[in-house]
Amino acid sequence: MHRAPQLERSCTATFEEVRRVLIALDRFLDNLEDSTAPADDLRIVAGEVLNNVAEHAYDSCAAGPVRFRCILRPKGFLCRVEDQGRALGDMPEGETPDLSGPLPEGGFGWFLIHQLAQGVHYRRRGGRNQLNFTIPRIAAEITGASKGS
Amino acid sequence: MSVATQDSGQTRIVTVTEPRIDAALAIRFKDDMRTATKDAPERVVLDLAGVEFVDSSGLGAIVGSMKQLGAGRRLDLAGLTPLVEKVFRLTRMDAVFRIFPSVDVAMNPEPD
Repeated sequence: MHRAPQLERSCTATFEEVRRVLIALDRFLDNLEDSTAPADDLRIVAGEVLNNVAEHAYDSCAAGPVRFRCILRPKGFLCRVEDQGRALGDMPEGETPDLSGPLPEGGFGWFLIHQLAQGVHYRRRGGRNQLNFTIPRIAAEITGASKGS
Repeated sequence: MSVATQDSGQTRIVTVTEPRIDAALAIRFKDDMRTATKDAPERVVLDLAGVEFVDSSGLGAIVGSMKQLGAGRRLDLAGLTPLVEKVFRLTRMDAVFRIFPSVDVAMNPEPD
């Protein structure tokens, strides 16, 4: 039995510290010997979720900790992000960016999360925010694998 | 500076010299783009070949860089790496910009 590849990193929720965690995630993903792992999708979603915590969960003068965990399972990456900041309230649905008027310079974050992640679930528990999500393996490759079995 | 510039005829090529246009860089990137394109000719080509990661803040900064060029000048993109291409495609920003595989192709495009 191989141990499922997994990564856990914590940092202070600032954009600079989040970048360090994402670079550690890059190293982890570059070393995976699993060609159907949805590495780029995880890079994109982890960036959006962690930077969202850095931007909104804490007052800028008192950024607190954020923890990121992921494990690679047959269905994809199972991920959890936790922080001790203010409650998120209702999770944004991430509407399709409106490109009909003046071009938006923001509002793409939750849209990307919902495009690439499945089972996005937020809960407030014991003064912590917890966001769980799955980054599924690439559909074509799952189809290809099931054909062979 | 997070970008380097080079003029070629009536085009300014702006090359991003940072590997990540992310939330930590977005504001500085947009400022650097303003400086780099202040006296630019009509066409600016942004070379993203060395950029391996763009997040929504970085995407917003690239859109903002185009808007601050003003009417009468345009920003084309070149050399998108696979993750960057995916972010542009998912957000449909690939329909907003002219995107070329490389700066070389951007400078010598096939006729439409």
